[in-house]
Amino acid sequence: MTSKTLNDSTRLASDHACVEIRNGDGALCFLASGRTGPNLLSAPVAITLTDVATGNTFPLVGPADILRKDDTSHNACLDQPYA
Amino acid sequence: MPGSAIRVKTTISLDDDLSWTLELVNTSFNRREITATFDFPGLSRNCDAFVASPTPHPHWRKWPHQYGYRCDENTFRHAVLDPDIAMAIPALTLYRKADDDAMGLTVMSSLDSPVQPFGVRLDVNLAGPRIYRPHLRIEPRASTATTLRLGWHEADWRPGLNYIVDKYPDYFEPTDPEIAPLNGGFVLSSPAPDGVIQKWKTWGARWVEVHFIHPFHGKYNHDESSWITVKDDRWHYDKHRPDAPPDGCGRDEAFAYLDTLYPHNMSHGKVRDFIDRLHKHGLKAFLYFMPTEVLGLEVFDNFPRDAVLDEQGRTIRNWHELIITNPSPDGDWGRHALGMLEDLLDRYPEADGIFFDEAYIDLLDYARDDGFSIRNGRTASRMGHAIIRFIEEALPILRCRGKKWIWNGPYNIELARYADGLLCENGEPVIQFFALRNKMLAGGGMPGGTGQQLLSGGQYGLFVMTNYMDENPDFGDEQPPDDAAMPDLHKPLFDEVRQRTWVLSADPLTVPGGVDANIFRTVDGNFAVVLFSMWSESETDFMADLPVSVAESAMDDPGQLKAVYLLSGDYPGWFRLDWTRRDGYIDVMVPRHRRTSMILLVTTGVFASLVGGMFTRPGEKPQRYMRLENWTPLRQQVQLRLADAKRDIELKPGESVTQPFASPSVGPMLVELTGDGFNRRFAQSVSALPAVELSRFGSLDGVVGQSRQLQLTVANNTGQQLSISLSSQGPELGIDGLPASVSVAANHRESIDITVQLDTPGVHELRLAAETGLGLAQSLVPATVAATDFFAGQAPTAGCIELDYFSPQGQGDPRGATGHMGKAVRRFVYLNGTQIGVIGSKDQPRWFDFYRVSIPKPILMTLGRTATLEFHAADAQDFFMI
Repeated sequence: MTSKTLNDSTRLASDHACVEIRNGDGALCFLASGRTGPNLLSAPVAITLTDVATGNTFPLVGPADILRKDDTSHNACLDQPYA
Repeated sequence: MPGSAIRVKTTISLDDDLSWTLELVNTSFNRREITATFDFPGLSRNCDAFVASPTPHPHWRKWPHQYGYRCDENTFRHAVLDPDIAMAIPALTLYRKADDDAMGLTVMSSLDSPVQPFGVRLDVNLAGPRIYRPHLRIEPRASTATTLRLGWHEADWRPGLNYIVDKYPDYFEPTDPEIAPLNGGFVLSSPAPDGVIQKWKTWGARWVEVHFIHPFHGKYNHDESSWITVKDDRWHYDKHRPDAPPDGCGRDEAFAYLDTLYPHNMSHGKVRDFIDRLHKHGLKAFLYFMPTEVLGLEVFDNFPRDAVLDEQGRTIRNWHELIITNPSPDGDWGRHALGMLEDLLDRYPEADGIFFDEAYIDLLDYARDDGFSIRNGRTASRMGHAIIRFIEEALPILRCRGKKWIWNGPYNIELARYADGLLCENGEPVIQFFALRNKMLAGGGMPGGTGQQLLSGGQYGLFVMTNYMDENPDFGDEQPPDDAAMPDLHKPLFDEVRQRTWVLSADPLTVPGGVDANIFRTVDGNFAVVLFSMWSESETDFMADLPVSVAESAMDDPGQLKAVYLLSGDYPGWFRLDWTRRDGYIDVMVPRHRRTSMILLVTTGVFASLVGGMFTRPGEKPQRYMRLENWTPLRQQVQLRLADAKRDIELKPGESVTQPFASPSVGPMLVELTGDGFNRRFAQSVSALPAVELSRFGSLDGVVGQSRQLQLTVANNTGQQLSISLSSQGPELGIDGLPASVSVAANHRESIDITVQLDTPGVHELRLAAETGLGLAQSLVPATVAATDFFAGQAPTAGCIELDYFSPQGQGDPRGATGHMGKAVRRFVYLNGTQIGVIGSKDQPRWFDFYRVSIPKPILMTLGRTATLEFHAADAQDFFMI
């Protein structure tokens, strides 16, 4: 992976740290929110799944969750209303 | 719940951008329809947005915006009709320009077809921008994946587009080198006489859609020796005649009736002759062909399984007697259409290609199942995907014959990538985003007359059409532009950007408010800035000076800038402009900008331009010169023609030559510059200035109770000091700060700031006048004053009444109605007692005029919190009663 440090234009929001990409020898960060580490994505993003048939929803990722680069998995129990 | 959960795997890959994939595994035994929603609370409310759509720059902090790419079954209609919904490219760009906190981020779908539905909601009531992928279909014990790509860039919307274009360059570039030179004006025509063709050529037309030559929509090749054209359209009207067979009779009976009314006046020889004559005039000929809509009577007789059905199982009428038909090569009609396409090209091998009409129809066909489409639990087939499958089989048929094809539409990027050329028929400027790297693009139908179309088309890099349709029962004879001089005036400007690439660096241009602008890289490597204003409809209004700054970062090699030229749609000719370099910008002042101006920043090329001033003052007779300049690194042999005088000139690299320009006493002079690989032909003027001029800057649109500032400039163009009387007229507006007179020194200007109080709702006009014994100058300033404060001090700019209840599943034309697009239909709509339009009909549902009745501005401005809306039946017998 190309080593790359992005400039200020890549900042996402005042309440989140700079976006950074570093090479495979260092930390790999993106959309950093102060909870970054090697091979981690700390995402200021919330992901929700909705079953159209039932309207049931499942919050897959919360804004503070940390996703690992390649092994994150969930069971979204969409057959039950999320409480 | 074991056995019934959706198992999700998230995969993130990071390279130049971030690719984020959700793999959804359906562990149950039921088909599932899932929506994945991505909220970005970290980007709440403090950034701007851009969406490649009819409303590309949403003011989402004022009111919510919702966009969709294939989210709604009627997206194919909304692409034309509803600027708040249709996305041309499934991507959202967010950016913030704050010095200490700038950012630019684009979130997009993969553009590989079939693109999954992609939705955007911008709403301050949400925690942040929302992207969602609805209608994800997962078969039992199977999986599906959905991916978002996130790219970061400079803080502007143009770099967001650049990110997309760089990822998928072939979607936006010419399909081959032969097609790009066809960029230019286009004509929709049946066989026309030579004199008309010559006129098109003069206007800059490059190609012709050869239309109204087929017997009916759905039959484009046949062995008849002569025939009646477009019988389906004729039947649409003639079936109402008293002696006509009943509506619903068979195709043969309907056509036999038409045989009693019309001569067989079309033949293969006539078509070939027309193509031949187009070629003699240097125009290309594209034969009309449409695989997506077919005469209903033909479908019911011969291709009953291929009619597209809506969710209620009904066929869908889209034009007069046509119904939407699925062109999938799996179907009878699709295979028949492919064979007909091949036979048509073999019958007319001299044609240059095919004009593929109605390529934008991308709805869901509930008669079929494509394996991936689902809406509310019902499987269906996406029409756009069927079109792509048709294309994939049709392309070899065209290519092996060396033919190209130009499409009407489409309005989504998946389809657009396959077209050699694109046409927007009804002024859908969203199509501009498919031609960012010089894809062939033409269009028409923008609001306003030909002049306004030329202006707005120039902004999009889009060339305007004209029509000649004496074989079309919907139209009369040729429909000339409303202002025949406009194409002539604008052709030299369009010639410079016929082949253009958008500049997609951040903030390449700075222009004052009230002026729309765009910047293109020309095929020569120079840069063209198109400027246009719609505010001046009067004969005399202009901006005294229009400052334009071009960022050096927008140019390939700004250090090599040699010259700046001005072309104007208002003052014919080429003019040399001064320019300065300042802190990374090239600054240019455009004199007397009225409606259209173009500045060319050149680093290479050979040009002829007027030096010594664009205008003459009263009593002056200064000498003007044409300057010939060679900015290429090569020696150039050119011929310069001034009126009837021709001169051959050899120019060394960097050399310039001037020769006197004697302005004709009446009208401009024809100038033609010809050299190796270029020819520029234009009218050159030197406009005479009046003794006194009055220009203004600023507008008077607003809400009752507000005030607006206008900056007036009074110019004394004479050699003596003048006392100039000033006056205003506009009883609905309060004027402060306008002196009774102003003293202006010889050849000088004075600026005056006035305040205008918006007292009365409605559409008004402020008439300003500056007068001396030597002359009178006037400025007419439109004022649209709204009674209602719609959005935090903002007046409405446009309004309409939506007719969703009536169309497209609404009522048909009244019996006996005739005329194109229902012009003769008389079901009036009244608003506050004033007739504002008519109700559309299901017989012609695709025309956006029929989904909406526009509210005229004078009425829009006076709307309060209550209004009276009336729908009138056509007559007492009209079955459509409200």
